[in-house]
Amino acid sequence: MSDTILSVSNLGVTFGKGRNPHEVVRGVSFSIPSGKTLALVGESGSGKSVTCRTIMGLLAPNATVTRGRIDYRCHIGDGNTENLLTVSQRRMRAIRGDGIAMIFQEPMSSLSPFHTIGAQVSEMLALHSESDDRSRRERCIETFEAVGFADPERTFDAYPFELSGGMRQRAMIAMATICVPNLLIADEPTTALDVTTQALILDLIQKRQADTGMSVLLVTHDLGVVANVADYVTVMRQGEVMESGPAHDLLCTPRHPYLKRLIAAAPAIDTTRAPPPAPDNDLIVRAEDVSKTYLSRGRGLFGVGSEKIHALRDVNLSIPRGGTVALVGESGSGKSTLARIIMRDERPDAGSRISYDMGEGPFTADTLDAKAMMRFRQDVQIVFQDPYSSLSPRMTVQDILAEPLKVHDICNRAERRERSMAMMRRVGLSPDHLSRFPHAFSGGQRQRIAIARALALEPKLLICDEPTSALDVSVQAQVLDLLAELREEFGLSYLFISHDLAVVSHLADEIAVMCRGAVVEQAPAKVLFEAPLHPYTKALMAAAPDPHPDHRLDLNAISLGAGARPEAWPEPYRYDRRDPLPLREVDTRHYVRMDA
Amino acid sequence: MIRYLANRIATMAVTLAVVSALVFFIINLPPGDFLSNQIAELQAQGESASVAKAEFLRAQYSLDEPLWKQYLIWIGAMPGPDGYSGLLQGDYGWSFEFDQPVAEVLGETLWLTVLVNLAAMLFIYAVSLPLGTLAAVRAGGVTDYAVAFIGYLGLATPNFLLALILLYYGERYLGLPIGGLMDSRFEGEPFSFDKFKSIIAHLIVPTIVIGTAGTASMIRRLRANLLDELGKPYVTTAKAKGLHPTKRVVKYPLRAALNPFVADIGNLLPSLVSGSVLVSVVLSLPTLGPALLAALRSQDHYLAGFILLFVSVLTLAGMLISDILLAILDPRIRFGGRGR
Repeated sequence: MSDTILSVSNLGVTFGKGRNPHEVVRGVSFSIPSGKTLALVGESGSGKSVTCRTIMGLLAPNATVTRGRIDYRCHIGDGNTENLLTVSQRRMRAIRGDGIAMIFQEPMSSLSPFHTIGAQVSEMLALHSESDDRSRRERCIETFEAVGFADPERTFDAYPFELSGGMRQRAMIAMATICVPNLLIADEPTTALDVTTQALILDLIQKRQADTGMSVLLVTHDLGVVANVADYVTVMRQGEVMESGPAHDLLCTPRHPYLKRLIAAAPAIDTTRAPPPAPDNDLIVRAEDVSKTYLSRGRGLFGVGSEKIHALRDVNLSIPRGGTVALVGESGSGKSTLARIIMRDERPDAGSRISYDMGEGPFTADTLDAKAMMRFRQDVQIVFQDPYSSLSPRMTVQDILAEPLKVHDICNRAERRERSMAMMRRVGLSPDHLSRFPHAFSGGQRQRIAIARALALEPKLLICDEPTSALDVSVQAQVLDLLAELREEFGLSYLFISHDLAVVSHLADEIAVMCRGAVVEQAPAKVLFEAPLHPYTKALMAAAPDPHPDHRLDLNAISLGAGARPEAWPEPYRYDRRDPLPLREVDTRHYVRMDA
Repeated sequence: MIRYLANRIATMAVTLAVVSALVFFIINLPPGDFLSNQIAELQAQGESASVAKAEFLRAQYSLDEPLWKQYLIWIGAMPGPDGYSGLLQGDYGWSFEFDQPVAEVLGETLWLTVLVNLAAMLFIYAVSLPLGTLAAVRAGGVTDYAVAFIGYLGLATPNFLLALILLYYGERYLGLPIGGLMDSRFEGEPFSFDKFKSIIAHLIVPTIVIGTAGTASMIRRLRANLLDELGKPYVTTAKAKGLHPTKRVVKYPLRAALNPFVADIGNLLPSLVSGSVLVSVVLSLPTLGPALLAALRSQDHYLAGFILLFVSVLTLAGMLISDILLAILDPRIRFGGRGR
């Protein structure tokens, strides 16, 4: 095939040298047709990232390529190919960036904080084409415009830390495509972004592809993303190719059981759940008019000129006993702040009223003495987003699970051991593994340990702060199922935080959609999913990618509401940043922030 | 940036005022002072004339006033027996031991100290920058171990021993002069090109000796910082651009690893002054270290106080320089408040 831009054949990569090398890529083959998009799909540890790093020659020093070849065709249409595994260092440097460019998962750290965006992007031109300073600047600004920067001149002189995650990823795309490469490798380019931003970035990659005619190798674990952009799919698992073929055929009629399982696990908004019973007045938390303002660090010796930042504005939220309330919104919308205030990690502004009722009568956190506060801590527990950093790497699982019991002086050593073993069994892990350290477990298993730790004190209210965002989709579904089971079994109430409505739909009875510190729409889950009103909610719903190739993302709906820009919303939802519109009850328990 | 500078200088002035008070009170902590010791000695010998002179001096320098008044007179914020005459007016006080104004006792010592320490600091940076970078880039390899070996050798060798060895071989094979910071014929002479040449020749051995120990720890620090930075994603980005390996390291991670390197200037200066006392004695360098030691031993408190204050000024100046350099190097510090 002379229109193949790159073909990988029988590639093998091992990690570690000496006696026990670990083979992470085992005989992988695929080829990328010119101008098309191939998606490399798999869960973490499947070897997809290692494969594309091998193509770019970016492997870590402890990795060795043991077999195979990577044939790259520099000029489409002519018969010559070169094997990227054997070309000289010099030739490889010329290919990188010019022929094959790459964007990475972490837009936050993939750009140097010390150089302006313009300097970093124009460096590409300086390396690969011989233009002078002025024409480089011009071309950068053209490219910035093409990737959707509103003020490209200003972007040129901005530093990465002055841009949001989505904007940084745009800058990365500008950098990768400015030399018009033949192939763009995108390694999980949207995994670290909000769903709405993800949709816009995916759209941008496709636009750039249409503009430049480049091929794209997209690495992702998300079949919803694949369905939206890929022409061909290669599914990898444990270093081997499971199945490959045209995207449409593969996703509509998967043959391999592994792919079937992945498709089944892909999160989709679940509207089949029965609506929860109307809540009586048995509330575990009732938060009224909760606000939180931070003072930005002002300039000058005494912080003169500091600005007020409204992290939360007059939020009203009640969690019924045994129920689940979800907070949904893009990053920076204030959902984690609200959770921290409810668990009394931070204090709200004066005038906010939060009352709790753990079953023994209502109280507020302000009146608690030290002893009652300890009791309160026992009743409210949290599961964090990142199980890789929320568990101490220096403690065994036994110590991790027993520590809360020890802190609250609940039982003796033997009982603690007993309870830890029971908790391990309950979250689906073997009690034999209690003496292991967290690094011996996978991400999903670690999150189970974190859940077990939170449940050790038999709390009444569990706060789940994006508990599945760091996990693979198939594991995500399992953790959500576990949380649902535990809620029934222990009579827990959940405050569930996520940026993904599909995740929330499996658990939540009531959903509050937050934007810029304010709730913009709040309703029972079923109502919200069936009749969303607010453009921001609609954007969030439209942005959740569906693994079925015929259900493409509705970019119009997304761009109407996304980006948390209330001043850009259509009437009657538009408002100035400084004073939001009132929250109106449009239907029973369905609140929308809008003009009457 | 100008605002930032003004801020920094204002805080520096406040710090200096606090430091000067601290210095003065610490100097006065040991019981007695130079004069009371002398008076006791003279009284024991029954020399009433000298006692009268000492009593006169006591009054002259307000030594019988309460401490806080003495302090204010010393810095020149309050009139003494001769009116306002203190640090603020450029009068550094009187050295009882040498019976001369402090300014005259110290004379060239001040700027020679600055010179020696500046030279040592430049030496430290000039040596540890390439070696530390090399060690980090080739981490775990032969070069890394070789650099570590050199570093530890510098750390473990006693400075005065190294000083003696270098003096001997420097003189024998290179004809380097021994001891002092200039030929004796230039001492107290006005500045001339020959004097400059003489100082440079004398400076070689002290610079190497004083710099070696600092170099070792600086190499380790730079290596550790750079190793952290080398693993960051933006380095991979640079590689994916097709940047040459050398340029890649110098332009991106080294730039980031320089931050702690630069921040160390402020810490380096005072430790060089106090750490080099022994070396200065061995090499008979006319620097502040030995002078401070002598002044403290004889409770010559204006002299000691002034030297301590001078070292504090050096430290604060070092901090200021490193803060300014950091702001220039790191846009996050410069524009931390912009655009949000």
